[in-house]
Amino acid sequence: MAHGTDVDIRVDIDGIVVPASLSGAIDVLLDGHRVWSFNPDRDGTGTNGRRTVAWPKVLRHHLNGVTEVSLVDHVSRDVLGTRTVRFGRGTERVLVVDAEGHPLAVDKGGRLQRDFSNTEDSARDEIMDALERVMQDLTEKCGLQTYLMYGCLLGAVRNGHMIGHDSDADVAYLSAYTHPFDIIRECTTAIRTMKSLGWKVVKMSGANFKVWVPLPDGRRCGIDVFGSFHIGDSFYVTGSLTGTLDRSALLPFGTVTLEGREITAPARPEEVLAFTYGPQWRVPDPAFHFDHDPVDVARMDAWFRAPRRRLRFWHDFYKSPDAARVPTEPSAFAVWAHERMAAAGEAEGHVLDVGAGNGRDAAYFAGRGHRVTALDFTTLGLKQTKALREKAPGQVHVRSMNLEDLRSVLVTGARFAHRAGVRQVYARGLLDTLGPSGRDNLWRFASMVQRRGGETYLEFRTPRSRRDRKHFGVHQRTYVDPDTVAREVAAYGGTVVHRETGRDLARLGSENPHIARIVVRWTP
Amino acid sequence: MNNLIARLRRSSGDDGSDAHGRGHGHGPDLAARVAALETAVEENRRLNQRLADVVDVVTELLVPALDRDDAKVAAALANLNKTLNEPDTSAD
Repeated sequence: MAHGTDVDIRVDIDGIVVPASLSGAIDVLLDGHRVWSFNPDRDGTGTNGRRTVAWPKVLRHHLNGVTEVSLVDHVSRDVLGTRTVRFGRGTERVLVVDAEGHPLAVDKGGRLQRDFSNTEDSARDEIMDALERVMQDLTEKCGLQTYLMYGCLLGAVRNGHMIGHDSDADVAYLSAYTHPFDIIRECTTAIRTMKSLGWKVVKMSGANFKVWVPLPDGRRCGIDVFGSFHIGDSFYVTGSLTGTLDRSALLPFGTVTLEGREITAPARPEEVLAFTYGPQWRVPDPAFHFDHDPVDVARMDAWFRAPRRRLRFWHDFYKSPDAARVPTEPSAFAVWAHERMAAAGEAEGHVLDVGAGNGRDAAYFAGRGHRVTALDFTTLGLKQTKALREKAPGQVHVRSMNLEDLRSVLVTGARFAHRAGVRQVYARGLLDTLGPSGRDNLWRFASMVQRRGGETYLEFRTPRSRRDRKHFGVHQRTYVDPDTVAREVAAYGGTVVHRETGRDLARLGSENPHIARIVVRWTP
Repeated sequence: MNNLIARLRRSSGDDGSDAHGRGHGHGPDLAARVAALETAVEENRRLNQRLADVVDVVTELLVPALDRDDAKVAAALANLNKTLNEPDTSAD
């Protein structure tokens, strides 16, 4: 704990404690680099004249070692206090950098990103070039009414420059449609067109996507493209912006000046900014984050984001230190499944490891001579066992498949189903992470790819595990009743050919869950 | 969905429970009815994406399938996968 001379500030591994009299956006600098900003009133807790603000989780992972922590008023640039702090047992300087050593900061979405404040002027020009080319292609090639939005619009209207603490460039298009189904189709077409033009595009939801543009310094800049539309009397912009905004505030488009260039913008940008950020939009606030009504978020989730359900959770999990706590040796279930496969004469057959996680069991099956396809919606975890898989005599192919995404399931399922031969489907711990719609898609997938035979191997925690202490603590888990699984499988035409439940079958550290092992056949 | 409709019917009195004026828009019945409606609305909203996916897959595959053009079918499948299933990172 360090104490200051000016404003009474305390800093430790749990967070930063400041007087309740402090208000507005405060930048946190470690050894002179801004890593985060907070607003004590909004982000802090506590009474008795003090506010405690916890470190963001992503930053906490980096806090080991010595650093000089400075708190700076974002608007006045007054240094409120500086403390030299040692976190944990480390003796080196604390570094918050990416793999190439570039400084990172927590963005408004809670992720560590590089931001524009560390961007050289030449790169800024490159970003502007890319922004203009993306907007031009969206307008001319995709036929979308495209305009500057969010942070870029805010920066342009405030002072004509990009906002330093922003890490992405933002544009939006005004959809020609007023029904979610048509809006999704329109976005799908735009993604396809942009890809065909050579852009590297990542779909973020049914109505927004990101275009990645490489920069000369080796980094890349993301240009976010947000769908916006009127449905009924409401105006919506993806993420989850919802409210009342007349079309005349947007059309006919005008222009604003950003970094010296004229860029297409809404007809009345101030009105759009007030709609987006509230009446205080003119006051700079890097600690700003949207405080959407949960009802609005739920609506947008259901319309456009259902396939990305839990994607971010698993992506972050495999980036966190917890990933190293996932064992790399095979599970007991994999050994059991292999023995059953071998007894059925499929000792070296093709195994589809669905929800492969870190690939520990995929590596085991390959080690026993199976040809393996490891399927997961984030393949990040599979990096952990890459070396293991490479040493194995059987081959492991890694493929992305998202069980919450019907298109992904249909396309991947059709490709396997078309191939000759029989394959086994193996899913350990998968039902624990899926919701009902994901389960439905799993049955669809398994019944497609096993229409010529093979068995589907399932192992999952039952509801009797709900109150158990877990190896990984708080996690998103589903506890499915084995009877529910049997019912759903039967509805898809499958037959349960093996079923057992109990403990001592799937120990994980000190956790000994009550699990079910179910084997299904989809052919007579 | 059938369960949902049954719940809605029950809470709206279609099963006869409303014969004496109870259960329509009051107390716990109303809460249950709103909860069931919310679930139904969410389910309907999700249909947009699912239907759009199916239409997209069918649209891309129908013509080459009718043409019995295997190479084009395979290319359409690969393209469908590539267009919208890009992982954030790859382990390969």
